[in-house]
Amino acid sequence: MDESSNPQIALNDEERFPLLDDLSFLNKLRQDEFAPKFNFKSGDRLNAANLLKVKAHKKSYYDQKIFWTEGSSPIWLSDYLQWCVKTVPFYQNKNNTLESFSTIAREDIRKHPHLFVSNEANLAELLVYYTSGSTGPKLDVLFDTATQAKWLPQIESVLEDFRISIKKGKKTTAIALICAQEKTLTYASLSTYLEGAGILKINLNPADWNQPEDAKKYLEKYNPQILTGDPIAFTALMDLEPKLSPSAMISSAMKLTKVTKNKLESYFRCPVIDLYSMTECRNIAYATEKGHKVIRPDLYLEVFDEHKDIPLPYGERGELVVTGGSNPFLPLIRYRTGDFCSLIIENGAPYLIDLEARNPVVFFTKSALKINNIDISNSMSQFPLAGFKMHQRKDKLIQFVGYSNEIIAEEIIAVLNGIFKNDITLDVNIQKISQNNTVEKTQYSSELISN
Amino acid sequence: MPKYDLFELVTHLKKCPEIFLKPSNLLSRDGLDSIALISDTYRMVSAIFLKKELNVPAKINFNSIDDNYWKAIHISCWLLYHHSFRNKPALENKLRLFWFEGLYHVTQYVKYKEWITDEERAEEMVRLLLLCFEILPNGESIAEAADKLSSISSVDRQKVLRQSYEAHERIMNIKREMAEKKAREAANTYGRE
Repeated sequence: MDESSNPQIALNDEERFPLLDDLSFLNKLRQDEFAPKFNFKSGDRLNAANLLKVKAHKKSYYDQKIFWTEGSSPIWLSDYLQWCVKTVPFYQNKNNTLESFSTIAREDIRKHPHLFVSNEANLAELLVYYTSGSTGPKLDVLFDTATQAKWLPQIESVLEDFRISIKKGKKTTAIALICAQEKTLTYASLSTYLEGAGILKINLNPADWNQPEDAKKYLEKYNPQILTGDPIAFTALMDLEPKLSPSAMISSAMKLTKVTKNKLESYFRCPVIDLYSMTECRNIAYATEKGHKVIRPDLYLEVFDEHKDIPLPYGERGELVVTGGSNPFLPLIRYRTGDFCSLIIENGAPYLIDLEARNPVVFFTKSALKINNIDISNSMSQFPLAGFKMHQRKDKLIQFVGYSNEIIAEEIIAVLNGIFKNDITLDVNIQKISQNNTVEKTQYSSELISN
Repeated sequence: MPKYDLFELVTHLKKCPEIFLKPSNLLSRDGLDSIALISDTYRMVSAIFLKKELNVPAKINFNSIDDNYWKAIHISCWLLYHHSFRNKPALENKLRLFWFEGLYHVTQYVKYKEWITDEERAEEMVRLLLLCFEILPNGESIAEAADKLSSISSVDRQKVLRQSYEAHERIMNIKREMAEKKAREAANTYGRE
């Protein structure tokens, strides 16, 4: 999720933190001698009712270990569908059974965001974010403060698997969202749910700081418990060699290769969690040895045929489709994520197997042998890449752009030649990671028709 | 047992004499004596010509009935003069349901003259009366009669119009809020998506 432009109407701190009386830690974070040139202010805006919703979200869902089993569906599903049919204009006049719903896609939400708003949603609480548009046209995503803050209990449930908990209270910085971009909104904030703990969104770009060393000094001083960001930002952070002791790092938005994960884990001495999330319904799963473990019992997941509206059996690969969520401004029923995997259930917990973000792309050797992009992803995970893009031109030449601070071009060429049976022309370019990158999310593309 | 032919009853209703369209004497000095008209209708339907007490709900205050409603009651009295409703004591108690509940709701949406000038409204009054009397129009099943009344019901039509208006209003409000909230500061972002 990205805030694509500066909002023109700002709130005051009372509106940003209706339940927090003591903002002294916030002022400290903002006014520190090493603080970045924050270009924005933000709060969680939680009032008592919404704070209760966030806490209830944790209580009612995250103790639940059995989500559903093969051949059954979650117990909440029937009530949820009934509620959608009754209160959400887009779903009205439909039957109450899941089978009666066809799949919907990003385009449906993009064209008619207002039709997905439940009649029970309080418009006074509406918030709007834009997606970055890196994987398609821009999308307005509607939600409210409670839905936004539910990110925290969702992440707590993941951390619990690693026996990590977030310390609460107004003397600690709980989370720092690290960016390494040309430009982004940056701010210091607090979390009401975490009882006044600090929240930072910072950009490592030197232009955002008064002195070149300040980014390192500031982060070391406040030593955030959890670092969030993408592999590019984390690699850029590691290059600064900061002395930090995070409890965990949460990487999302881009593929995290095994080698990059290992390097980050060995430097920061904490687990690096590869989180699968999307703007439309937030966190879904995190990577384990077995596959991506689903963390949200309030989501029902299915796998559908990419082209036909047919659900596929467990274990068969197709497009991941989501039903549920707790956003009254965007309740989803059979929403196509654009991501591909197969689904298995183990002891009531769903796992996404071989999850590949966005459109699967088939590449070709010169003699027209098909190469699956999953093979490329698997092979690239052995390299210290913070990210990469691969494109096949009409003349079959493969253009590969990788982001790494290590000299690995020749090794990558060797591996790609192996995958393509030495029957391909390669153009491999490894770009250095800086503190201000302009990296796109899209990984695979081709000018050739795959069928 | 009369057949309660719908066409015949509608034709009868549309022949309502001008005098029934006069205002009530409770609202206008030269008006029609509404209470007498109701009393006569009761007597005629029940066939008890010495009947003195009107079977009207206690909460009904005749002074609170407006002109349009009174005229609808007058017109319905004409409809009840049809021979098929005479001397039917079983219907007497159902008259209050028709006048003071069924007709009351619908007069909020129908101008009195439409009951005799508009074919569909005339049919609606006849069907509403038969429904309150628990009588099926000749040749129709319960489902058919219910379906046909629903298709011409002014109350239902208003409900649909109101719902569609409310849905439209809601969408316009969401669009307005979206435009306004886009310009506003939102809430903390904790991770990349």
